[in-house]
Amino acid sequence: MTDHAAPGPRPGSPRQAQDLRLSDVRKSYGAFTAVHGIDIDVAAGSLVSLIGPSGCGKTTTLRMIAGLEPLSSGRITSGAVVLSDGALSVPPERRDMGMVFQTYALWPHLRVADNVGYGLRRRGMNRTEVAERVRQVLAIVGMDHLADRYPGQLSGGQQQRVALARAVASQPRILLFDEPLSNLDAVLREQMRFEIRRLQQELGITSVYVTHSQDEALALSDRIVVMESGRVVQSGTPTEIYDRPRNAFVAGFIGLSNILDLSSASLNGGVLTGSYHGTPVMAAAGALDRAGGGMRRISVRPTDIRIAGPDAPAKTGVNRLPGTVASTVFTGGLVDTFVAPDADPHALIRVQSAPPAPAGQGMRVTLEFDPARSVALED
Amino acid sequence: MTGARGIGAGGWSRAVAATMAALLAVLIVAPVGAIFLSSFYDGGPSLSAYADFLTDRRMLAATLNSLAVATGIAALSVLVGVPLAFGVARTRMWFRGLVSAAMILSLISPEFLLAMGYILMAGPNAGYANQALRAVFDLSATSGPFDIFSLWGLIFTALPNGVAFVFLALVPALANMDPALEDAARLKGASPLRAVIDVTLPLMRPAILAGALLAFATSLAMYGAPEMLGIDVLTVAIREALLGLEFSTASVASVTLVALSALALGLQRALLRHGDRYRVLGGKAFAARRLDLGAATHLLSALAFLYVMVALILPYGTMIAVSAMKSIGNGFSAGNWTLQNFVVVLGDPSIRQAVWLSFWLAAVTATVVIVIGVLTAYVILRTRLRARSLLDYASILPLAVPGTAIGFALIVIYLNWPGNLTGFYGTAMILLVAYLARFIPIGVRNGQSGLLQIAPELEEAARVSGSTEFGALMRITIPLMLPMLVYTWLLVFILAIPELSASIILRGFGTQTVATSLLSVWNGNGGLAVACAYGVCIFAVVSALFLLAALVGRRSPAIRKSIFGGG
Ligand SMILES: Nc1ncnc2c1ncn2[C@@H]1O[C@H](COP(=O)(O)OP(=O)(O)O)[C@@H](O)[C@H]1O
Ligand SMILES: [Mg+2]
Repeated sequence: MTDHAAPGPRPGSPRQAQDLRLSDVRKSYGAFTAVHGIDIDVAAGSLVSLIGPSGCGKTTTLRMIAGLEPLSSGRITSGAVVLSDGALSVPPERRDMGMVFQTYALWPHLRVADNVGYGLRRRGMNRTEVAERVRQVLAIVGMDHLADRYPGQLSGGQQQRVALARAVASQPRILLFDEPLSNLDAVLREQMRFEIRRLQQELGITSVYVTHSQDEALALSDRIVVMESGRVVQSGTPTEIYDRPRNAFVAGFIGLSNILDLSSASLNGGVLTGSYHGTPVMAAAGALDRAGGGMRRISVRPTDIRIAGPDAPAKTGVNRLPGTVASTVFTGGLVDTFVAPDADPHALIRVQSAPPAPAGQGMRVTLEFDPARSVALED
Repeated sequence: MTGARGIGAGGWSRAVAATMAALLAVLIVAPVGAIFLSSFYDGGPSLSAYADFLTDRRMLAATLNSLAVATGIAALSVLVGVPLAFGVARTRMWFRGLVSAAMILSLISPEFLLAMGYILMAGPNAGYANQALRAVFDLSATSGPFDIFSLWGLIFTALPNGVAFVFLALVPALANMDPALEDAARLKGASPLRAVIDVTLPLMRPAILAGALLAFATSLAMYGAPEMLGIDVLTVAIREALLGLEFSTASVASVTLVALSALALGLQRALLRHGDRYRVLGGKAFAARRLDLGAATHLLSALAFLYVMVALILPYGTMIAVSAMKSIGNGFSAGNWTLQNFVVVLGDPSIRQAVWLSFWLAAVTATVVIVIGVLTAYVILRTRLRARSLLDYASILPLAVPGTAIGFALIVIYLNWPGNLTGFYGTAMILLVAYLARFIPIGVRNGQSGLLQIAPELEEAARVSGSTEFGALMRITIPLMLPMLVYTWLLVFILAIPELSASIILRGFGTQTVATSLLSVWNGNGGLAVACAYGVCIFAVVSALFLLAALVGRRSPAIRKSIFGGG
């Protein structure tokens, strides 16, 4: 390893954002492999979310980026700097990063101001400079009036803000978040979500944000990386992931989805045509290049399905499934209608629409959905 | 190797691990190894020492005495300790606070002080209790009815210490018990007492047994009381063998002693580890209800009163009274009171020297022990180095090695090459080495429980914020552990001041410690009253320091657990 993390410019002065690149990063604990050779690119100044179910390796990945966990193999680089290369590793204190921990990890024996100023002191700023910078950063997160409190005297939301201030105080090259909002109540969570996004964009710091909440990932990210069992399943912009999920896991994890099994499927010019228990259905093939032996699954979002009357006239280029309404659920902003299609009466297809409810229980309906909004899945 | 979470893998933590490994090797592994190796060595590898031991009547008798005393103490400790623990934890018995205080005092106050008190009370001829009983019952005999200078006398003398182990192992288990377990029995029609006997006591069996095994092991290790009472147990026999330069006898006796303690402590640990079947804590702490046992409560109160009198007030009271007597023979009579004995103690240059040496030794020991304790605990809990489990085992090894055996081992090491090159033999340094070996387990154990209270994220956050591993330890971890460290320092200091069993073997002419000098005053070159005044001073200092330590620990859950958690 030739170049270590450069000391970087003095905190407080504006600086160039750096990208972050993980290449074939793998982590094993004994015989158990927590992360199986993943590749992630984070463009300079952007925010990338790692999302996936609990235990899929998100925290492990983040800790490897921070240098808190040695890699089993692979490389992590930022700009021209190699941070980790196999077992060789720049220690965390020389990576020039900021991190917000799930538990906040505020030091209980230090006042808020000292928590925030800690990293600045370690980077060699003098006391008056530190005090000034701490005041600025605390003002950004609206905590300047509580600078003399100890963390134990703060509410969860306030601790969260202090943790955020501490992470950004030294204007790090890279910001890391590990489910920072998971300990907050729903209202605060939403509020902090926007605050984090605003702060990250204002400061332009390259960020990696770990979460298991799709709302957070969709609302915050420039790009989303979906992980499952230590592997990257799909990565892309929030719209790409939402509109073109690669498989049933992604479709179900990011947003709600109806998965339909098609038989005798065939591919023709970017369109997949198949039979849903006898009813012909078409879907966008996406990246799919094989019909896969005739058996294929497609994903249709509940919001992309319309409910029409039983005798609605057929339109060309629109999928139609007649069925019976099994139940309707009013959830405030949306109505969920569950429909048992005639083709497969044991299945329930979920439809979401704005109130009022389009049909009542037991009514005959026709479901209509656009092939362009139906996606063929890889599995 | 599960559970370790940490970032210590850099050069710094490797260096620390290597240093700790080297220190533990010199301070602990080498002495323990020396005990075993020397027993198989007689010009070459040989079993002759064992053959001699098996035909040595004196040694066999000492072994049997040790076993008899330890077994007796363990059994009686259960008999006395269980009802007292139950009374304190679960009933409205009187004197609950006093009983708890007496338990803690008997653990921190050196055993020879209690022996002094009992000898003054129950010496066959002049013991005050014997005199009083003979007067009350108008007995014509000139001796008895009690004779403290007997096997039973020794068991009696060391009993409070054993009871304390059972008590402290049991109280937390009882206090945290899920009351629903007893309620279930009550609903089936059992009386409160019946429910306790049918449900509670069986659940407490592992804790009781663990406490009894600790009592057994510490009884094997005691030296002061049997020496003063003239009972030939293994520790006393080892010292006598050494005085007679019979090294091979001493080595086999030491091996026997260590093997027996290791067996008891190994069993105790296994019991606590496999206690899941008996787990009574459902994860959350229960505030166990206090039971109303009716008349049985008064019986418990009476037992508590008797215990506090016999284990605390009478022996220490007698010692205090005698310390203020002009003549012991005149006993509790008007005009027999003076402070002259204290003047003698405070003015005696050899006592003063011993006190300085003990304070110096205790202070250095306590300081080194907390440094080694914190760093070793850090390696064990915060790194993934392979050596960490070795460090873990090495650091608790001395628990199974009585001070007498450590003393013997250090003689072997520092009289022979290469230890003799240090020139430690006969100096205060060899005492320091012995004290470190004895007290390192406390440092490492408390270091671990202190460290376990600190989330590793706090250190990791410091690393990400620009601290080195060492910087994070100094600025985050150590400040957060400070109450535990101060408490541990005081505890080791308190235990080291009156250390006797290793000191008496290793002291040179110029290196009397508090305990050895007290013993020589007691044994005749100063008089019993002066010895009592000396003992009162020691007791006062030790108790005051412990009070301070308890105050330091009042707010730290980890410390409360280490005081009241047994073990
Ligand atoms: N120190 C460790 N030793 C062994 N296994 C671990 C360790 N840390 C994490 N794991 C395992 O690695 C997997 C991924 O964990 P983690 O990255 O924490 O998941 P996530 O943050 O996505 O919930 C889990 O199965 C976890 O049990
Ligand atoms: Mg996690």
